[in-house]
Amino acid sequence: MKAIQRIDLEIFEHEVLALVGESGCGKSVTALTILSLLPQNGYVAEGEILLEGTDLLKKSSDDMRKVRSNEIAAIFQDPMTYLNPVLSIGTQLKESFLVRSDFPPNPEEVGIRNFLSTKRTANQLMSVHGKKREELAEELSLELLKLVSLSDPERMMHQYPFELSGGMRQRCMIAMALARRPSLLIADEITTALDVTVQAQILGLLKHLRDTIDASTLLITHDLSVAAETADRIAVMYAGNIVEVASAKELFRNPLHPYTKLLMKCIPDARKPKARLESIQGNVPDLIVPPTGCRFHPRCPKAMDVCQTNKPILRNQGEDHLVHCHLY
Amino acid sequence: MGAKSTVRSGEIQARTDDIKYAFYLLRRNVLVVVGAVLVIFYFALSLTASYLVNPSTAYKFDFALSYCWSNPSISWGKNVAQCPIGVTPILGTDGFGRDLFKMIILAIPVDVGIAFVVVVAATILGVVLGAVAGWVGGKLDELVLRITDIFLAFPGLLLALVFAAIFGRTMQNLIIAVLLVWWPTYVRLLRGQVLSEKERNYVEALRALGTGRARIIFSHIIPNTIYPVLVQSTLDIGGVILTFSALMFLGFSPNPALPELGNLAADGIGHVFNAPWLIVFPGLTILGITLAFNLIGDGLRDILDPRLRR
Amino acid sequence: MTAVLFGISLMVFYLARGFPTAFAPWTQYVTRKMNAQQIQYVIQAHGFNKPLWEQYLYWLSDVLRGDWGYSNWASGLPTFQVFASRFPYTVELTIAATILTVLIGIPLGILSATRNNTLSDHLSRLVALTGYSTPTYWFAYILQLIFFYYFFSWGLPYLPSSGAISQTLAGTVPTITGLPILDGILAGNVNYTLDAVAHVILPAFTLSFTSLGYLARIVRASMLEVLEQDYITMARSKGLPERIVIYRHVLKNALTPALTLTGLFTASLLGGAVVTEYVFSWPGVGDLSLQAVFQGDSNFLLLYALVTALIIVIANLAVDISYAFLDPRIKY
Repeated sequence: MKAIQRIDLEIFEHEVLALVGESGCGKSVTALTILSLLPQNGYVAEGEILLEGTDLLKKSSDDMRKVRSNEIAAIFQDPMTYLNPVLSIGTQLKESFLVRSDFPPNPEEVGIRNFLSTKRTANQLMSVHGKKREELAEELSLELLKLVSLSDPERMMHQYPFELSGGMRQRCMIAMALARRPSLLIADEITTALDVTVQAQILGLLKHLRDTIDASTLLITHDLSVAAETADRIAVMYAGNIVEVASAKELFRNPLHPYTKLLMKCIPDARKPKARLESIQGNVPDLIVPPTGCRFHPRCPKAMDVCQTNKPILRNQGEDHLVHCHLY
Repeated sequence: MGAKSTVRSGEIQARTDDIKYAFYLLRRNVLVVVGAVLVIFYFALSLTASYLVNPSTAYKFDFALSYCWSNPSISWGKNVAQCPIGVTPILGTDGFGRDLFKMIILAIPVDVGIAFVVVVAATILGVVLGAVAGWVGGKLDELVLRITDIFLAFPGLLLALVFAAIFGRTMQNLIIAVLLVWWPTYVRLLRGQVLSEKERNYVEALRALGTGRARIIFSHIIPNTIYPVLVQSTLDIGGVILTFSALMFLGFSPNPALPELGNLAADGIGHVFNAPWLIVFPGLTILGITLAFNLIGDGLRDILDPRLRR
Repeated sequence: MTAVLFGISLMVFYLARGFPTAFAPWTQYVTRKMNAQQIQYVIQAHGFNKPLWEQYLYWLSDVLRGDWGYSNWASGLPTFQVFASRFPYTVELTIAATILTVLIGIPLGILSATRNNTLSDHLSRLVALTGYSTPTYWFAYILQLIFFYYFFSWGLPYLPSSGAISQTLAGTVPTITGLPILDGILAGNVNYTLDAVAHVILPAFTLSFTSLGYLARIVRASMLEVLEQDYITMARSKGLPERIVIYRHVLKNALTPALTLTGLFTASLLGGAVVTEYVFSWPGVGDLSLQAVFQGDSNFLLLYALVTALIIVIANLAVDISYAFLDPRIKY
């Protein structure tokens, strides 16, 4: 079963790229593939994943581990199941700091904001006694918890995941990701398991932190409105394929792919409270036996004969607006 | 009409995939296959034992040949007596002068047979008492729980010993003694299963339809709980053989010449250093049989556990 | 709990008195020194001439007063004393066996789980399964044969095959706890302690062989389940070395069922001790209980059963308490 048929994605420095799609279209698999954490029965058939020039797929598992501790950090969907229930928040947060070999950094980089915004490539090896590392990790953890707007960090360090609310847990996960000063932050449906109000808070936090952290963010979500709020560019995904990529503004102003257009229609408009809720006809295709040609053709209102037989190619429609459709 | 047949073929398809998947899992578990092969071997041996070795040889004693060894492939040390020339027992002789190898072959069906009887009987008891207790609940359930608690509080072998000492040394009584050690496990197992199944939606639906309670228990709930019972009984066959042969070993045999693995080993107690084969080989056989059943039971448990499926 | 203890006493009583036995039941309370008149008195005092259910009440009051009768087959001493003098040896054996079980079983299970489906996994599963497929008495004799008899005849250093302490050293150390190893340590006598350890190795290993397989299996299953959890993916995504993932993240979660099981082991270890003590001539209670069965000493057996049940209860309590340390979600 091909979870992902073919994706071409590029993320630029400092930008937030949202990967939007329905459940089951392969978004989370993308995240796991980048991290090289696919379950035992998954593998990459072909392609490359380039992080600042080096192909991740060619790395040994040891090297990949280093990449995970230093370069890429992930925040996952359900903070309840992704936090170890028997370890304290403090332990789990500190280990995110301590896992890096170049911790602690130079003495002048005191304070969490300095720590987070320093370039990772600088050689900052200082052999410090083990206990000192622990203390520094503890200090920075407290500051980091404050940074993600958690109150009473001293107490929280000793608490366990089950004692916190959903929003607090998610903030802890964000903190754990930030501690590794990644160049790429992958946020996989981080707001899906939270109520709307908390959702807004978390998104606000991310926006707020953008200036502090020197990282690109891959924001995976099924909610277009979340993408609209937070992302610079948006990539729309369907059934294992990218169908459209554009800057957020451009996408909303001028959606090209039929799927994207339908998705936009589905967002309820607060200005028209009495309008009917739209939905897209049909069901997400079965990825074990996917449709031939363009995978969207069974549900596409603009489907042509060629859509059933040939896969479309990604075309640039001007201003870095890429579409994957025979119409163009 | 058309809709009905589509549904049916879908079901069959799903079931075939289930079987194919089960076979795939089986192939991945070498140990289970080994266990299955061994079990089949022991079964075949049990069924054909009386044709391979004449059962009457069990009662042909020749004390001049007691405790001797003649097989050159294993040397047991200095204290071992050599058999007279011309006498070549494959695995040495026991106290009655009988060829140990032949006795072991005769003993295997005895042990395997008894184990089956006990496990089947325990399962039936478990179904009758446990399922009913679980279903009815209340005072009856409490009572059954307390009684099984009492039985389970005793270390198994000791309990069997006590019963055996009291009831006497006939074969039936010994089997009953062992059964009395095992039935609480099955009663508890079935009771637990029934308790959890009772809460399921389909039971509610059945009751709403007016199905009789006995029918619900026996035609619907029990079949759904087959898997854990199957795993448990496969594993218990080995356990019963271990306990029963231990009883024999400790001296409860109805007949000292009975071809039974524990009994054969008992013969060697006073002769550990000058006739060690008497303990080594019967024990090894018990190990083999128990291991075979445990391999299957263990593998069954892995295969049937839905959470471990990949 | 008291209901169970009560039920046990009822059952043992009925088994002892309700069936025709080889020995007259009042021999339990009679010593060899008593004459006919004294015997008659004993029969009356303990209610042997009364109906069965009344006998139970007599018996219950006797037991609660501490009168468990005499074990004439065991040098004619009071039953309670016979039991108490031997009990510490069984305790030493059980503790040693538990330690071995945990020391071998848990790493075996971890090995099996972390190298799932490789040769190491299959081999350790085979070892584990062999463990609980082995007849205890057979294994005991095999160990004796190899490590005592054959090692001796091959000129290798050999392990003793019987008793808890060598004849020559017996009694050279004050008996404080009754456990040879502890007494040796408390007295600071290295020779004695080492000798006691040498004596306990074979029997303890025999006893533990059955349980360690089972423990390994449970640890394996439990770890496999934990390894599939999301928070393990999270830990790996942090770039933590696999060793830390296993020992810090997985183990704490996976060991809870293993702990429950270790508590239950005490029961089966106490039972398996009967055969092991017999084969190794270990001066414990299990060995005696075998003779007690043959001699119809029901009071001894009852004492054995009640003590066993009590120990199981205590062990389960200890397990419950240790849960609080492992899992922060549990509070008392």
